[in-house]
Amino acid sequence: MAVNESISAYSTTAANNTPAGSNTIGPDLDNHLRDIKKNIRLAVESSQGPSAPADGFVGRWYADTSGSASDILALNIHDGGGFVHLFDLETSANEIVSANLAASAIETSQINLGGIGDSAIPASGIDFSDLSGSAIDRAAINIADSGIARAKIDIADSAIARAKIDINASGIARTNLDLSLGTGVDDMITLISGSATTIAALPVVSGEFLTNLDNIGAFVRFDASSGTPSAQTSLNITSITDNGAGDYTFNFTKSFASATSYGWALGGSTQTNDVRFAWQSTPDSPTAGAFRAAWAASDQSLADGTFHSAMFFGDQ
Amino acid sequence: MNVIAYTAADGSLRVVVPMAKEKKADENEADFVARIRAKDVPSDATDVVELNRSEIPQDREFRNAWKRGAATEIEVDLEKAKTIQEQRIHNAKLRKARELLEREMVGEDITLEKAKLQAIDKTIVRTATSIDDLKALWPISLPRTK
Repeated sequence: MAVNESISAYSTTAANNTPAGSNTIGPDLDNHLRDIKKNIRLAVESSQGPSAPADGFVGRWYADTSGSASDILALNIHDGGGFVHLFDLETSANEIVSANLAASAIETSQINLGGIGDSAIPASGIDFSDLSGSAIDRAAINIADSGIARAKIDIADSAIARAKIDINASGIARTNLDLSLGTGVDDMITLISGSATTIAALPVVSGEFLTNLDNIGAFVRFDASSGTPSAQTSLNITSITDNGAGDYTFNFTKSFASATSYGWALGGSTQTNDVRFAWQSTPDSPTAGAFRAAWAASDQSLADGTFHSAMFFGDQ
Repeated sequence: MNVIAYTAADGSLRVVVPMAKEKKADENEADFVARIRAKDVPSDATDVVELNRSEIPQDREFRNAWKRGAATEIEVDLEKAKTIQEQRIHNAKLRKARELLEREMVGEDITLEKAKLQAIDKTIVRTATSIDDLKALWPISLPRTK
């Protein structure tokens, strides 16, 4: 007749427990009663704590309090082999802040935050970092609530073949869509409409938002009145080569498709409004990656100026 | 932001000015200038050197006479500058001569101005001993191109 048993030795079948029924229990009855009380107490205490109880069994719950300093209570369940983490509860907010989901669990599912105010969404948002990138075939995230002032979606895994982001709620006052694409991403952005073969038109965009467009050509405004040319603004120009008075080469960051696939417009003047006219300079023919131009005064001698501009348009 | 100076195959001194806007977020300035140097300085360039912008002469009047110097990184070649100035005086005399001819054709008396123009000796620039001398030797009666 065993005494000092742990709760894991107990059976849900009464006949399988001790004492066996035929035992003379006289001197040990006291110990059996103590075992039962001890195990009731241990069962309650072991359901929570900073470390998992040693005597787990299938279906036993355990709340890990090791993260209590951060208001995190981690809920676990024993699967027969050990405790499995299910999710983290933020006790101060009464919210689940992360869950241990298998990648396949959201392979084709849609996470819909419609109707949830942004205050209900934890700062961490939806974190896919615990998922295997290759397991995510396609993720659709719809953010439809008009109360969300700003939505940020980070898709960081280079193995994701395609990401689709729909931001379609008319009530969203402003949408900042920041795409940070790492190495290995071949197709930067594809616009599709209805089917994958139809290219959608770009929306109407006010001129003030036409920034950082790298494929419309190149331009530069520069001052060459003293020292070396100094650019006030430019696009797609890595450098200006100062070849001499009124003689400059513009080196493109992204080359055009060929030496003959683009056109140009050049102009300039001096601080005192004396005209400078400009042309493609002949010493070096234009190439896909660079263009040499000359600026001259009224007597056709090459001359510098203060307000010079060069613009290039074509296929890149 | 540094610039890159080099001597081209034709002997002229050229200066590559990187556009600061093209510096990548994860790139420091030295790496950026090195990338521009590899991309935009031709393979036949010689005497390639990175310079601070402050080392580039501010006066571009004799820009085509710039050369790599001994005392300073870039200096003006006085002999080249004299040739440039001589040619400028010659061109200015031609423009003035055309103007006088037009005025004579419409009946103006240009005798004195014509004599003054003919008296201008462009080779006077050969006596210059410095760039400042050379600038000062420009004939007062001869208008300069703006």
